[in-house]
Parts: sequence; structure tokens; C-alpha cells
Amino acid sequence: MNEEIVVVLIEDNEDDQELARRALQRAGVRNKLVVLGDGAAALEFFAMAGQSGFAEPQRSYVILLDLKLPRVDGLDVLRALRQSPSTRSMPVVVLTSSDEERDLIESYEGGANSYIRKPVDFAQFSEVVKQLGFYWLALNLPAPAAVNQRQDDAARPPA
Amino acid sequence: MAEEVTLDDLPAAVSVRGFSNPVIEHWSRGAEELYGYSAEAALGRISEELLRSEYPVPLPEIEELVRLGGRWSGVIKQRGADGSPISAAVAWRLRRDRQGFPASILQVALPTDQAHSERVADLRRRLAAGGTELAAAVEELDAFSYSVAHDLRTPLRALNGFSRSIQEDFGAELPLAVQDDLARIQRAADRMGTLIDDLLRLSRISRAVIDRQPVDLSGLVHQLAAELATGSTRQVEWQITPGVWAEADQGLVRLALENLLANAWKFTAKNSSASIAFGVEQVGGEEVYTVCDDGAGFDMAQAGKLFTPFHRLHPTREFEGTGIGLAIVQRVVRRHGGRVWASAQTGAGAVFHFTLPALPAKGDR
Repeated sequence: MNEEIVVVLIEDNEDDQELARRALQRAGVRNKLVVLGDGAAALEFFAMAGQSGFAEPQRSYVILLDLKLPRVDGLDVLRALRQSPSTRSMPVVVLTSSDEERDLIESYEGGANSYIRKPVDFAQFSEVVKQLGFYWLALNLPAPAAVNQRQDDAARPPA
Repeated sequence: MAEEVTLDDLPAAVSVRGFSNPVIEHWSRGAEELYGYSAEAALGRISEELLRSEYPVPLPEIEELVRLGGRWSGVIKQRGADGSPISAAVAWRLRRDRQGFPASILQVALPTDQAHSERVADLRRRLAAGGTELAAAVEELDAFSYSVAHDLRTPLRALNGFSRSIQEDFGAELPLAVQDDLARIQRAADRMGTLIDDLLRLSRISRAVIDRQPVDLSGLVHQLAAELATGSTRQVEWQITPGVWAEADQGLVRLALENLLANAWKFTAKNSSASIAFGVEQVGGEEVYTVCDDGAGFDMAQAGKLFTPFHRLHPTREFEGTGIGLAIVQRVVRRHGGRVWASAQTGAGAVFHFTLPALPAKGDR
């Protein structure tokens, strides 16, 4: 596992936060986990992460995003992440209760990399989290930090 | 002072005839137009003779009703000045003199073709209102399903997850009875998750847009039969009538057949050898498709509840399932404007019949 990667869980339900935490533990994921309880907090977090003064600007992130969130909806968070140069290439996994077609369509149109429906059964959920961890933290190579850096430079107006 | 409105201003044919002496006392412009007689020609004439009226019941009976109740309405046949037949919906009102004795009858007549067109206009208005209501209902169903999909499963994950967590962390230390209870909680949460998923599947059919195309039903049944037989050692004889087509939504019809065949497969599981058949019959110019098995069947006394969601005719321990399959079949068939029904006998198999009427015009939703 690439333990440099930070897992960001954007989820408002405290039970679901706790279950995800335990599932990650069981899966042996020791990466840093940031839990954000609503969409606005998520946007603030990534606005800060894009700034050069942020503690760990070189880190890579994997975002686990719930759709139904207070303050700023999950789909709006997704669209905002895709618009900002510093977050555009971050993998976003939609992790939610619903498998309604319109949620799937809007998620993928909004630029989600993956869509996973949370199973009711915890054993199945643990298995899902394990697979997720294996794919995004071990198998998949994240975009180098330079990609985001370059995008930031391109987005900045010439001095 | 407000302008006075007289009977002559009404577009309807209004006339007044004496009660005991049935001569015409008043003849409106509308009556002139409808019957073709001028007021001059009509006044003083006996109404029934002039118009050659035919009543649905003898006139004296009607007059008696009017005398007692003050009113009558019905459809009568009359003839205009040129001899042409006129069918009119008429309303009669009794007018009394100062002493309260019946004096005359006021008649308002509307030719039934006009009455008919007004009824059509009224139906159209109601249909339009119904359409708006229907759209609102679909929107509400959408919103309801959305919140079911997102919100109802969340507490179940907590129930299942945390009880499993207790079991895993303290499993060995817990008394057997407690372990058993925890397992029950998990199973119940899982089952409710399945029920919610079933409900959502059902509501998805109601919300789906129907896309009608020619569908090879025989081909579909062959495919589905092969899927059911995969990995099974059961002896099942399939009789599939070839070349059966319907104009229907491919995805939805597949879903309906899948459920019907899965049912036939399930309820023949206890047969040492079973037979399942798909075919079509012509009944009264209509194509009726049938799925027939020789399995457990059911008691026809219970047939009324067969298509009710989550209603099961067999106990879960005999045959598994949540009771959603036939509800799905019925909804698919109804979305196509068709009917589904069953005939069976306990222990002697079941036959499911359904129709998928072709649309006269495109554009069904």
C-alpha cells in the first residue's frame, strides 16, 4: 500500500463514518484518514490543500464521497473538485446508499472515477472497502503532485 | 340597474306549455333555431303534436311526476319543421299559479349531439386535470423513491454493522443466547435491506419510460431457460413455442419473463422431473401469452392476492422469496396496457397468462 496517500471520507452520518473507519482498519489500511462531515467542510479542506502554505501540499488523496450531504450536496462537491485545477485529477469514489439511475448518471457526468453502493451487510461492506483500498492505494498509480502544480500554474493569471 | 336577462337571451331552446292544457305559451329564439318553427307558428299549438314528441315513458306518467316533484329530465325524440329527427336532452320545471296549482311547464332542451360535445369537453377538462395530477404523483413517487434509496438503508447498516462488531469483538465471551440474538438482528437488517431494494425495483418499473420495439419472446425465453439451467442438475423439459413476438419494451418484458420463469423453476423444484412451457393462444382476436408449469401450484381461492407485493402463498421455509416477483410481472404488463392472470390447482401446477396489446399509435409513456 502506498501509505503516502490520504484517504478523505466525506460522509455526514456518524454511524457510517465509524463503520467506514472500522472497515478500513480491518482491511489493514493504515493511511491517514480525514473525515469531513458535510460538503462545505470538504470544499474548505480542498481549498486549503491547494494553497502552498498547506502542511502537506505534496500528498496524494483518494476521496470517498457520499452523495446526500448537508450544506453542499455531494454532486456539487464533485463538480467543484473537477473545476479546480488542484483537485481535478484526484480520484473520487462515490460511496453511497443509492443505486438510482439518476445518481449514477449525474455522478459519472460530474466526473466520478468510480461508483460504489454501500451494502447493508457489514461483512460485504468490509469486503468492498478492502477492494477499494487495494485498488486505489496499492494498484492504481496516483497523478504525480507535479500535475496538480502545473495545473495551478496554468490557471494562475500571468503576473 | 342590471340589464335584464330574458329566456330569449339563452342559447338553449326554451319553451313554456300549459300544464293541464298543453298549448305552447312561450317560444324562445333558441327554440326557433332548434326546431325551425317561428314563435308565431308555435304559440298556441299543442306541443306534443307540433313536435311529434316521443317520450321514454308515457307522457301522463311524466306529468304526474312533474305535478308531484316539480321537475323531470330525460332524453326525448322530436321532429323539426322540416321533418328531421331531433334527439334532445330536456329539463322540465313546474311553474305554479298564485294559489299554488300547477300552471305550466318550462322546458329547456339541448340537442343531444350538443349535450354530447359538452360532455366530451367536460371529460377533456377532467382528463387534463387528471394528467396534471398524474404528473404530480409521478414526481412525488420519484422524490419518495429517492429518499428511500438514500435514507432508509443507512440505519440498517448501523444495525447490522455494530451488532456484527460486538459479535466479532466479544463473540467467544458471549453466552450462546446473546450470539444468537445478534445474528437475528443482522439477518433482520439484511432482510429489510432486501425488501427496500425490492420496493425500489418495483417503483423503478412504474417510473420507467416505455420504449416499444418488436421483441422476440421465444428467443428471450430460450435465453432465460439456459440461464436457469446453468449449474443445475435438475431434469426440466422446456417446451418453447418458436416465433412468438410482441411489440413491447425489451428490458421490462425480459424482467417479467425472468420472474415468471424463475417462479416456474422454483415451484417445480420438488418434482423429480418437471416441465415448463411457453406459448401463445389467440383469444377473441387477442394474443394471450402463457407460462405453464407442473409444479406446486396454488389454491385458486388465494389467487386474488397473487400479485400483491410481498404477499406470499407459500411459507418461506418451503419456497424462498420476498414475494416481489409477480408484483413486478403485473406492473410490467400493466405499463404495457395488458392484463395478467393465473389459473392453478394445489399440487397440479400453475398457468400464468398475460397480454401485451400493441399500441394503435406511438408515444406511450
